[in-house]
This record gives sequence, C-alpha cells and structure tokens, in this order.
Amino acid sequence: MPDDRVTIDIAELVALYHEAVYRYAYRLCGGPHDAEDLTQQVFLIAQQKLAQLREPDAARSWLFTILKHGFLKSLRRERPALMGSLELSVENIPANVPEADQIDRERLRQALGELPPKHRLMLVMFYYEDCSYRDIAERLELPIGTVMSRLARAKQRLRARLFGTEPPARHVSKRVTAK
Amino acid sequence: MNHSGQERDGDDAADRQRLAEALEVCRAGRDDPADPALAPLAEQLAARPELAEAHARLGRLDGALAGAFADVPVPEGLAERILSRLAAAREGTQASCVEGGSPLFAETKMGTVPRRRWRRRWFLSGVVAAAAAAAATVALVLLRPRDYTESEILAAAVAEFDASTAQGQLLPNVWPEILLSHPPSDAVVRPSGVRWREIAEFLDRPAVAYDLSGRAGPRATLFVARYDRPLPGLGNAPPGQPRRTTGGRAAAAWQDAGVLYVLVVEGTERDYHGLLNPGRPLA
Repeated sequence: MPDDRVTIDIAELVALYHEAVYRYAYRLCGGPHDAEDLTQQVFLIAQQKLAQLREPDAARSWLFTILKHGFLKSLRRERPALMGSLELSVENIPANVPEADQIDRERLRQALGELPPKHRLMLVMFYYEDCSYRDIAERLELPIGTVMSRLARAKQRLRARLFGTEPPARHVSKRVTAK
Repeated sequence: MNHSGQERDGDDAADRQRLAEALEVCRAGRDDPADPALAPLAEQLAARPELAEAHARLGRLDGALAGAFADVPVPEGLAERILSRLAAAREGTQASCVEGGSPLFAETKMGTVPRRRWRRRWFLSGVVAAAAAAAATVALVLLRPRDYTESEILAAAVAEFDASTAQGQLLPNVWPEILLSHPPSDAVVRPSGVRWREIAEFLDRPAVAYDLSGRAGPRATLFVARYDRPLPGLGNAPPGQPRRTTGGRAAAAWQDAGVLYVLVVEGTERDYHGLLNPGRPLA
C-alpha cells in the first residue's frame, strides 16, 4: 500500500514556525536565553521524530506539544502550588479594559514568572495557543474540573499582578452571588 | 447557626465557586454555554444583565491579554542558529545536544538498551561494569557546562554581524580594561580607522567587536570573547579557509591563550584571506 503521507522538511518547519515556537517558549520561560535554548531543543526533537508528523497542517500544534512535553518534564519536582479559594467579584475585572498595546510587556513577563509553572502553562495555552478549557484538559490529560479551577485562579492572579485587582477576601468582597 | 444552615452556606460557596470558574474559562461566542461544565453560568448569564456585562468585559480583557502574550520580539538570526544546530546534530558533531543540551529536556536522554539476552553471568557482570562506566561518563558530560560547537559560534557571530547597525568608537590611545582583556588578534590585519564596541552578551559572555572595514575593503568584524576552556574543533590560529561561507559571509573562529576570536567578512573566501595577516601562521 503506498504511503500517502505528505512529507515536510525540517528546514521548512523551522522557517514556518520558529517564531511561534520561540514566542511560546518565551512566555513559558520568561527570558530570551532560556526561550532560545528551549526553541532549539524543540526543533532538535522535531528533527529526530519528524516521521511521526503525519499531517503538515498539524505541525504547529505538534511542535507546541513537544515544547509543552519538555517543559512539563522539567517540573517533575515542582511542589503543588497553594492557591486559595476563588471569590467571584465583578470588581476583579478592571472597569476600563486596556488595549493590548497598553499592557506593559515587562510587567506581563514578571507577572507570569511569579505564577507556578503549571498555572503559567495553562495561561499560555489559553491566551497564546488559543486553547479552550476543553482543549487544555484534553492535551494535558487533566479532568475538566481541575482545568477550570486552575485556569480561573491563574487568570485572576495574573490580573491581580498586572492591574492590581487582588482577588477580594470573602468578608469584604462585593460578590456576585449565585442565586 | 444550626447544622443545616452551615450546610446551605457551604453549598452556596461551592455554587459561587463553580460560577466563578465558569465565568473565567468560558469565552463568549466560542464556548458552548450548554456544555454541562458551564451550566451554572448559562443560567446566570440569561437572568442577570450585570453578570453578562462582566462576562463581556472579561472577554475584551482576555482579547487584549492574548494580543500582549503574542507580542514577543524574536531575536535576529534565530532561524539560522536553529538550522545550524540541526545540521551539526545531523552530522553527529553534537551527539549530546539533545540528550544533554537543556535541563528542560533532560528526561529525553536516549540511551540504547541492550536487548540481547546474555547467557553467562560473567557477561552480565561485564555489562553492568560497562553500564556503570558509561553512566559515569554521561554524568561527567552532563555536569560539565556545555561548550559551543564551532558551527554555533559561527552562527552566533554571523547573526551579530548581520544584526548590528551600531557604529563603534575609534580605538583610543590609552586602552580601557575591556580592550586590554579582549585584544584583537595579531593574525588579522588592522586597517586604519578600526572601531570597536562592547557586546553585553555574545555566547553568554561579554565580548568586543572590532570593525575592520577598511576604506576600500569589505565589511568585516572580529569578535573577541574570553573563553578559557578549549573549544572542540578550533585551532589556535585562523584557518586557511573560512569554515562558513553561506549567505555572502565568510567566517572562521580560533582560540588562542584563553581568547576566542571569530572573524566575519562580508564577501567570499578571497575577502577573508585579505583580512589575514600574511606574516602570521595559519591553522
């Protein structure tokens, strides 16, 4: 039976996706040197396993998977992050929503760096890779409830660091309560 | 508060938490509010305009954040450096690059597992001893800081050469410390009007770039960095032929007395030769 797989050259992969992989790595690692190192490692792995790529259209996602795999493996000794309970408050969402170019990039980098790596990964998957919570659950092989909980907390904490909107304490929050 | 009252409060808190989570993760217009995981949110959004407004605001904010996440400047010459490293790995000059290159991928070490069954115990002993020796060697290699390969060095220098638009300073009469510790190589000619500039980070260390572009000669730069450990594949004098001649750049590296030199010339092998001091030996 003929092999109908479409072949793709590693150089083509580099040309097409090195920027996207680097940006992803930068947001995970928080610095240009680690990001470049991680990017190079991703393409080295990709070169070794290129035969596994059956659909060239899936190359971007495949490279991101290699990247996440390596990043997660580096976190094996990470202690579980203690994240408190989440209170819902409309005050936690800035009243004046900034434009993308009004968000301080250095502050964003620092804010991400202060989050536990697994929460950071979820945020990068959500904001950069444009994954839904279901996509994240599927790709990280986690229960939906776990992803919803972690992602929601990570988003609130990122906003708190970026915009100073600390999640309110229970007793002082102006809560939007469920009826 | 009685027991049933406490339970009710607990249920309310759990409901609020679920609603909060759903509000955060549900993207308006993309995720299906009928998804069972989002059921509490769908009901509340329909019944409560202030919540729907907050959700819409959150959606706009998430959009802005997504834009900020994607805004990362990509360093010049990255693709070239990746390709160079891939080529080096293919050629086997960098057998440990995947295995030992980054702690992020430390778990991807690929040792080959002997599958053959050994029938004699002494064979097993030999294998164990060999494995222990190999493990010790691998550990030594992994614990040692990784040295750059020649191709990585050349790629980094060419990338810096191409990226730089800065005009350096003319060499002063009294050299500052940085120039004394990063002197130009005698093996390279020094046309009049040589300019220098400091590079904060070149191959993870400070360096000095000497602009050797003469009035009529090709554009050329000599990069100088302190590098005490001997780098594999480099001689102690410039090679007779440039080791890289792609993209209209001829480049070569050598290492002498703890100093790494990389010469990058815009042009061909002939232009490269024109920058070498004829009175000095070549590698």
